Amino acid sequence: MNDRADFKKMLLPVLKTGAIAAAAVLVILLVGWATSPLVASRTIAEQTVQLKLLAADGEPGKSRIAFPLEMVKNEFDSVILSHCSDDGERNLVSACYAPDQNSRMSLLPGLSDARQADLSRILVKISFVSRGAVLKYFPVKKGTDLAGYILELSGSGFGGKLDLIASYQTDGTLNRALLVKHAERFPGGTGTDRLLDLFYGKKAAGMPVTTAMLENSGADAVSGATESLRGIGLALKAGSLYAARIGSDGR
Amino acid sequence: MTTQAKNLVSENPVFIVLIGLCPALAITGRLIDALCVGAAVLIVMAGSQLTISVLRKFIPEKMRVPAVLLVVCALVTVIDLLLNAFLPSLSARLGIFLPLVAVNCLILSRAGSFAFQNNSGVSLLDALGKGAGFFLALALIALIREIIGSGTISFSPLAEGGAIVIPLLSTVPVAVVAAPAGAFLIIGLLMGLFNSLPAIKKRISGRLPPPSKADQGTQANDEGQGGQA
Repeated sequence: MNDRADFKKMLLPVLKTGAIAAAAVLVILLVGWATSPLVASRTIAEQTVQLKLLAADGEPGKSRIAFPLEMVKNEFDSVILSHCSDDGERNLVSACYAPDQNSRMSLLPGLSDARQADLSRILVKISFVSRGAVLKYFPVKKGTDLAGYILELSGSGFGGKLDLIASYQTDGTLNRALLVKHAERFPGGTGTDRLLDLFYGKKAAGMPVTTAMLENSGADAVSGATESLRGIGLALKAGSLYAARIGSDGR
Repeated sequence: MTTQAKNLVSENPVFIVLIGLCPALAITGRLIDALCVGAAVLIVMAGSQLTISVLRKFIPEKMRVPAVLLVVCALVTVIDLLLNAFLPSLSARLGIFLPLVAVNCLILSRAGSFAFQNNSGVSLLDALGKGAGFFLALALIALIREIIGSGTISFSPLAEGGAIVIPLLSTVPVAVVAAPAGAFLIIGLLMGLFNSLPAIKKRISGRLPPPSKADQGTQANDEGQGGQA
């Protein structure tokens, strides 16, 4: 009897706290549910504005998910996405390499969509290690000609994950980029446009991503945020390689 | 002096009680950031103390801390969601500092102690008073730091602009004041000022007695020892 009474005595406070926790979760869910349409519509509106800004006088097409089918090591001994294909090319034979180069996976012709998606998720995870990943891309057309691509990129800076959107020519030259979401603290409120200037008009090979390259390009003098710029640079570089690899045939 | 006036000056949470110093150091580089975090703290304090005081008979004694944390975290999350929906630029500017309001010592200590012993009306008044004191402290530190350290007074959270530029200071700002070290310096000076306010007030009103003979003797001894050293 005593045990039962003790158990009840112990259980009651836990249940009461549980009830408070449940009420708290309910309130959060309700507010989240009420605000999510507003956030979603704002995100779409913002993206439309960003795409128009980056496409300049071109016309951005429909978004395509960037399926990573092959990864190569870059000169900093990390892996970056180098080749992706749209959904029409999922059966390509390809290979990918983990950062240590020991684990190699092959995509075989005829793999199911689910398996391809699994593999893509793994590759995206690996690509975060490399601090640059292409998430989506939009072909940009001028009339009937393919003028380039707008890429949604993800990278990792000093403050953690950062999201970029950038326009490239078909040879991988960066036209313009926007830092969409980040947690970097740029000293003195330095404008991000001025920081991104360092990368404009450059292809992957010419982008300053090492500390030495950044210092030579005057990045530290501009921002005092070399590590943040390195993260941005690596993401833009992954995008440049990606755009160059899809090339002018749009695949 | 009324209780609410005491919360603002003679029992100010930041300058006198020395509580909630982390945001006072971290987000007082710009006035608008300080105002926003100050307002968030005020709202969360009022909400959490009101909720805890209403639930104080329901919350078991043993579960006091988890219950307070749950209530405060829920309120902060709700404010974060609302800001993200209605003032996204402000939400982005405040970044990690808004979620960190959930672990603000001032909020947790008042919700965990005062709100458990008082009814909702008294708790709400206490929260508003303490929150206003905290708000005032952040605003004062940020105003001084921004004027001297950047030569601006920012007042709009909605755009990059929205700031008054002070001609001479904006061209040659005292950068150290805008830096983290400057926050310590300014807070220290303001603490000194707030702590000496009662003495200044007494002296101005002529109620401070002139130094006694014993005081003069002690002073002379001190000077003598200083000389020997």
